[in-house]
Amino acid sequence: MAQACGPLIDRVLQRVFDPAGVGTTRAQVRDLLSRAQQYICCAFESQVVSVPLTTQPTLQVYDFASIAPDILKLKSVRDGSRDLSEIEFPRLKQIDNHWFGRSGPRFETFSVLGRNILVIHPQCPVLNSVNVIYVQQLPALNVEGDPVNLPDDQITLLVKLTEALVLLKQRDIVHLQPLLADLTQEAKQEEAAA
Amino acid sequence: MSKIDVLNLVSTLSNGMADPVTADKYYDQTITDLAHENWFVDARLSFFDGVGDPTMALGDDVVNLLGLIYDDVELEEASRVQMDSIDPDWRDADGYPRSYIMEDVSKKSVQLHPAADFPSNPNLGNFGEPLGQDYPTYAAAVFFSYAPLPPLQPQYYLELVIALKVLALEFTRESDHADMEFAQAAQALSDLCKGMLA
Repeated sequence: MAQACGPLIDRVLQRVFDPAGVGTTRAQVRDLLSRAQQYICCAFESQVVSVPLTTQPTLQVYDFASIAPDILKLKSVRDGSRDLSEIEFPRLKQIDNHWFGRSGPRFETFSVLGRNILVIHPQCPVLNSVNVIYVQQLPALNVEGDPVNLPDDQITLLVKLTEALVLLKQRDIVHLQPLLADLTQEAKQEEAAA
Repeated sequence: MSKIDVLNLVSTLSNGMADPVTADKYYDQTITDLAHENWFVDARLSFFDGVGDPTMALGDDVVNLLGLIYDDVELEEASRVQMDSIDPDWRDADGYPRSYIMEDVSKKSVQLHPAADFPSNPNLGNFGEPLGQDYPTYAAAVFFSYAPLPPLQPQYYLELVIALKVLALEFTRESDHADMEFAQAAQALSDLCKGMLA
């Protein structure tokens, strides 16, 4: 867990046959690693955190930015020890077209709209609180000593994805295509497992 | 800075071969495509003057209308053909809106049926929560997707997805640097990364 990104840059550059970083600089590889780690983290839900949210009276609609600045994917909402059931936004209307004004003694469901809005239903007439569980964005890799906060078993996939991006930059499509097929297959397996 | 960051990434991944002018255009196109897939969503209030005008402007930034609430009722979408078959004079009705009709997406407006004949309370409360304690009576809450074009910015984690898509479009275009294999690979990587975010 949490190894520095410098050695990963070495691994990527060795795999693309550019160990000195001539065609692609170390800073460019670090930037690609920094971006690629977000996709691995999201797909494998590598860094899941919980944050308390104070719900306001009669308010059901919350912007992600008001909950936390680093939400990558919202997973669940918990009221005490009880998980609220997730519902698709259009289903709220099917269940009750007065949902927007409906209040109740406790929260029952939540809905995520796009990557910006959380709806917690029904509204509660008084101040309350829930815990929001989400996949957290990983910190950007600004220097080679910055740690990659992914479990060891996901580092290989991170290196492969970054390698694919560098191969694209190098226009090495011959080596890129089988790697892409491999990555797509692994992503599908992960999707099936989820 | 996000658009500049994406265009710098496009330049890096294409080794400076991407045309900055068309890349800029494809950036806007890609952001709009993502908005059509509801990656960027917002909600806001809309008010009525109560004179019975059935037309409600949505705003130029609305891409998809995801939900329309009048007072506390989520309105049903109905088609114009359906409304014409029920009542040819539906446009003249006023009262408490129950449905909306989107006649032309490009006009960025909907027709309420019946037209709202109650004026919205123009006074918001003091809680700073227009969709909560401050929600005025007989107003509308609109949930919609939008394209975060500058000065708005997409999320950091979408920048690479956007840059790869811009590369795919740029290198598919007929030009002195067109390269279908490269474009297809960029498209596949963009789809892969976007799929991992889903």
